[in-house]
Amino acid sequence: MKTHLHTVPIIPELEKNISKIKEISGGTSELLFNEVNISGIHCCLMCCEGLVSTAVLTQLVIKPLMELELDSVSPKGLLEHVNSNMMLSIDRPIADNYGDMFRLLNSGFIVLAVDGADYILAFGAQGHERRGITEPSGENNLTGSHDGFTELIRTNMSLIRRRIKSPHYVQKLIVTGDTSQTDICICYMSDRVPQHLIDRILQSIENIKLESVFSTGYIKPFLEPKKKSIFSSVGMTERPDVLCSKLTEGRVAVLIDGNPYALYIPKLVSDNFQTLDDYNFKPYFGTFIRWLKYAAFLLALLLPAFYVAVAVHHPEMLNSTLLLILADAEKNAPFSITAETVGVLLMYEIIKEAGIRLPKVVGGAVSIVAGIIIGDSAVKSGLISTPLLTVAAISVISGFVMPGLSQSISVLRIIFVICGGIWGLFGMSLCASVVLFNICSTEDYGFPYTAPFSPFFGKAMGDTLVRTGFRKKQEQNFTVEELHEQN
Amino acid sequence: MKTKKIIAVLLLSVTLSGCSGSSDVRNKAFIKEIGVDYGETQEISLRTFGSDEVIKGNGKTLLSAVGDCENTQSKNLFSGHLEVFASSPANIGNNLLTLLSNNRISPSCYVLCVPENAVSFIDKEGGKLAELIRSSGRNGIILPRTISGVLNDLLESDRKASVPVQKDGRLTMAVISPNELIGTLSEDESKGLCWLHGNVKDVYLPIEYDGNTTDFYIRKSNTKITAERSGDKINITVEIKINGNSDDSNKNSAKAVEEVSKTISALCSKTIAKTVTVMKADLFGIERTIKSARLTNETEWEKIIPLLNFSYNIKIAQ
Amino acid sequence: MSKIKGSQLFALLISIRIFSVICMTDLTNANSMAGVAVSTAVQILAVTPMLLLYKDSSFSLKKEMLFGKFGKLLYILFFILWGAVSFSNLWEVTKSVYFPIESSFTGAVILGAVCVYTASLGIKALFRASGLIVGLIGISLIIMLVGAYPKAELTHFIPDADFSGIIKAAVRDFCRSGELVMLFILCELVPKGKRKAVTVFFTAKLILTELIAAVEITVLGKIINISDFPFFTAGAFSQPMSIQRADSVYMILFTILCVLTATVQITLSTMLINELLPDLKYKSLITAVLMLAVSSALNITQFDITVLSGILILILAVAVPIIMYIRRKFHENKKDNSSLTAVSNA
Repeated sequence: MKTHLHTVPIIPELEKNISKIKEISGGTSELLFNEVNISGIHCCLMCCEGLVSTAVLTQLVIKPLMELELDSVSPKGLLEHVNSNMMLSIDRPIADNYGDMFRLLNSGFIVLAVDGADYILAFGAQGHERRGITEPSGENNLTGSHDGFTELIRTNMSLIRRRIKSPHYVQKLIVTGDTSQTDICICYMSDRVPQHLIDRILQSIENIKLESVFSTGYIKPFLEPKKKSIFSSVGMTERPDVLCSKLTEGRVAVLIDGNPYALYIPKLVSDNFQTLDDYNFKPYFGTFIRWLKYAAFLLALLLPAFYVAVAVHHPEMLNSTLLLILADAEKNAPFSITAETVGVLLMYEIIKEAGIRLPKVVGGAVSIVAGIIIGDSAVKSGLISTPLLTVAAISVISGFVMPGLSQSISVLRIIFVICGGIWGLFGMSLCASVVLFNICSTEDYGFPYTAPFSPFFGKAMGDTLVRTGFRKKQEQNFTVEELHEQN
Repeated sequence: MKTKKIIAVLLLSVTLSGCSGSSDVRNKAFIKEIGVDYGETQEISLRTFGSDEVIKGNGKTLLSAVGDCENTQSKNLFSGHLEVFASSPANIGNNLLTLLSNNRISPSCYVLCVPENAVSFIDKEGGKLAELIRSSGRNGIILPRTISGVLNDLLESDRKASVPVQKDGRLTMAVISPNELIGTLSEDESKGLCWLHGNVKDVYLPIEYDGNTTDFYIRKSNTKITAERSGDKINITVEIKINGNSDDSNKNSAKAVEEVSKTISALCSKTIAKTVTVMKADLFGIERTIKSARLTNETEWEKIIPLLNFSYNIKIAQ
Repeated sequence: MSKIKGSQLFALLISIRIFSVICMTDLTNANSMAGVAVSTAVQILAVTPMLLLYKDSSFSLKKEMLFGKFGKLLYILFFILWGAVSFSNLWEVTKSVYFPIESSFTGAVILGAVCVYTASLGIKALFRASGLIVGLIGISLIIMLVGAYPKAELTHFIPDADFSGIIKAAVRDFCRSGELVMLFILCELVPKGKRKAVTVFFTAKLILTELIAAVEITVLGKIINISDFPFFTAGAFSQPMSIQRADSVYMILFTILCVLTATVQITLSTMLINELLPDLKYKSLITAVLMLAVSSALNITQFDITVLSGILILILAVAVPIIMYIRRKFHENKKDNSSLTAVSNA
């Protein structure tokens, strides 16, 4: 990511150089300037307070530089000597413009400017406060690892590298965002991913004109197809083990500095129903759980709408016992069943959102208000019927089984309810057709979202409809490239 | 812009669709039993689920009579869960056709013929008719018939069907045509009818031998009717396979088995004599069996009847 | 141009066929079953010229269409007519089977709007969706078979087919096989596996049609003669559980197949209109409106379209490919002769 500062070369005169830096930085307080003489040459050590490790700065940079005594060395010669012969840090980039220099300074590097040299030398000495590796909060599991990505891109890169030691695994760092200068890492297996895909992804990221990139949500729209789709064809995960399994299938991952979520391309519809736990259980149980998830998806999306459609338009589908229970429960409700259902679902969404946003200290109070007061009292007062509340609860809980689809399910569910309430099963079928066609039209970089269901790919069915055992799987060596549709 | 236009069309359709007029489950009363008497008009009485009230109405047609019943109600009447359709024999064929069209009711709704005053019957004795019909069927007394089965039989070439009938406070079987009651079967003939249709199970058959009266337990049974040509005649063999045992301590008694075979053959024979020979009704799909096997060129059932020879083969496994 | 797999072509064609079977009112006896078998055999022969035409990988229908733009216009008119038939089927079914809409026309308009949207998503989405819809068809048929098994009586089927009845039924079935014309256009999008897809399609078409006919006849018996749409009636009778009615489920299958069929017509029409009038805007919308208009006209006038569709299928799916094949062979022979002459002169 090039800014106008990248076109401004470093001023060799140290005093002017320092003035220029202060001018560009606006006199920011955390930028520290230490003017010293090294081997008789006037130099300046610069760093951002709070981003560097004081111990590294003192012991490994300042002390050796202060002890350096070279005879008759030129400014460039001094820098050459420090760079080649002293090894003050493993990471020693050089910058010849203010754009690169500021990026290094703001990334926790110590910068050495020498009077008379038109470039600077930087030393990697990051030591800022960081969150430790903890269990991911959004993706739980029983039998897998308990470490998750953090906000630091380099930590995340190391978490992946620890798991994939193959030399074919490549991590490419690029910078994006004029203002934020955010580090982005493209990760892929070079023996499984075709170069044209990498080039297209890199091109998509380079076409981003945002001035700041703080989260995966900023990058995601640029990696997804332009056509509006209901479900996202770019996946997101907080788990290194999950990401590694995607990488070994030939997908490309994108890490963003400052965000603990990694993106992976392409995402297929079947990915929403797979968890790493499936592969730790016996195949029959893994298959059972997978089918349970497919059923949960249908329940989450269609159950409230089905309830409304049947209650309003198709009561013959219920047997007489169930029908009487329903009629009895609904007889005192003041609103139409459709309005009641939409209201209950919206209430659940509000409670869910409140649960995410509220401060921990009031969490208990909200649970009491939501569960007991709203749920219990509303039913007792006759505002809402119990069967409806049960149906809505089952639907909402089923939606939690696939967190990746929860956004789409939340909205689609309400649309289905409205269609079912107005036009019954006919309306639901039309709505389902729209959703189905929309899903089928979703594709990312030539990978259809509905693969391997459609276009059907039998080899991949062993990991979608069922969970094949590893003895069989080891012979298959499936990669997503086989699902790619050439245009 | 294109999307907006599509949405506009859809929204317009919502307003035009009149969907606001639809009633949901709380505004519906679900009909459980209907009793119909056909005279100058159709008089009906009906019972709904969850209520002991009997609603009465009349009209030129069945549907207009139901509409008349609705006028006295605050709720719309819904017939999708109808369990029993009790009707006088007159116009029963047309009424069944009306009910089955547009899938208004479940095809497995029971039919009950009430020769005298079906309306009053529903009023006085309605409420649990479906359970009564089912339990009588389980005991092998009558053969529960559904609307779809009765209508199918009425559309065959003989235009006759068997239905349970309410007579003298009891349930037995009768033979009807689309507009009249042809005749009623006796208790034995009704039992024979059940055996000929098959699926008699979990019943006790009383048998007499060696001066003792005992019960033979029928666990399950299966009836098959086959036809084959023999010269000018067509031999109809009724094969009934029974799995059961005698209640007698001597469970392997050959005599008990023989007696069961005789009893069942006698029941079936009585039924065939009454229904086929006297009433000229084909209640067992005999004509279809004959035509499927291409055993005759005759197209009229009444001309086929004289060609038929019936025999009964009862096989009992204990 | 988008490339489609052979299996996707099969899925699309069989879905369209099943929709036609669901809407059939005369699959009621041995004549019709035998007629379907004869018609399928005739259709296999009929599509042979188009398969031979496409055997040559250099053949491009876009460039070599008979009569050029006029030929394409004929196909457009056929697809508009076939789309109108789909809407007419919806119209007729909603009159006999309970659909929760106030009027059939409103239902057709809403369905038309949905089809305009689904057509705008492209032909790849259409083919992928058909692959998934085939799964839905399979599940529905299994439910129907499970429910029908205890209620079916083989004696309801009377093998009394006669020659004239079979021929009439075969002709009627041929006149309803509009998917042959769609096959001719869609084959261009399938680079590999056309023959296998077509073979499997005709086999599945025969098996599924006969299976559905057998279920209808054996379950319904004589009721089939008074039933407006035997498929729905058989579905209502084939309840897997006696206490539960599930016939409304077939409404879901019908609606989705209706959307798919209409979308195919709109997509194919739009594809061809694009070649004739590339600057025309809102092609899908115009096509859908035309289909609705024709459908309304057919319903109001109660015009029986069987004969007209049969003639069009004969022309567009049989005669045109034959003529194009002969013409192509003629030109190839001419080229070979002229090159031979050039060589001998040299």
